[in-house]
Amino acid sequence: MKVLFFAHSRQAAGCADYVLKTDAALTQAQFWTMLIAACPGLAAQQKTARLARKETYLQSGDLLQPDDEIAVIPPVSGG
Amino acid sequence: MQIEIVLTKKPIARPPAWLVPFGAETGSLVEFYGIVRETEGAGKVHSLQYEAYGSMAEKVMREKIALLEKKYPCQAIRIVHRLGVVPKGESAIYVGIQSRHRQEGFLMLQEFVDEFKKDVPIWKMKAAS
Repeated sequence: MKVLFFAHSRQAAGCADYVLKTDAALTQAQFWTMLIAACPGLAAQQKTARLARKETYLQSGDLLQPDDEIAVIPPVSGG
Repeated sequence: MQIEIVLTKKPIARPPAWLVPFGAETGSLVEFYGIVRETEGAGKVHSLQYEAYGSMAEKVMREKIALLEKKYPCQAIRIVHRLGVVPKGESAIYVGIQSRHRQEGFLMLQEFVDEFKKDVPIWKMKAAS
């Protein structure tokens, strides 16, 4: 599962993307647990960031599939 | 409805030139510029750095416009958002809406900018000094 980071999430992760190794579908809670274990700097992002797949925000119950590309979207502030 | 979205590192010209002439139905053009303010609380701002998840930003904007144009039929919308370093006093965003009458243009502009600030993946960050 490829994970993309932007703005504050990229700064927290220290990289623009990361490959999270999983063979199974993940709940969003499981995703964050695995991601924070790999990138501890992202811990604070879990409370504020939203997740997106195919450029669409995930809903709270959506599962993440192993071949998904997931974007970690920190609170937006454009305009 | 005609839609034009531009994410650019170039300064936003004022007034911006529409790429097409006003339509025969257009009786109003409502425009908004968002400016980088020099003061933020007690601090001073010299510039801000903007970045975008560009493809998703455009997709979200188009989805918002599709919903809003059902409520406020308009002829055209043009959005320009600047990326990279934007100095104080310069425009970070421009939104222009052509409509038959002014009311739907004002209402669409207000709601579009409100929705933009909730969901469009563009970020402003302190520029590196």
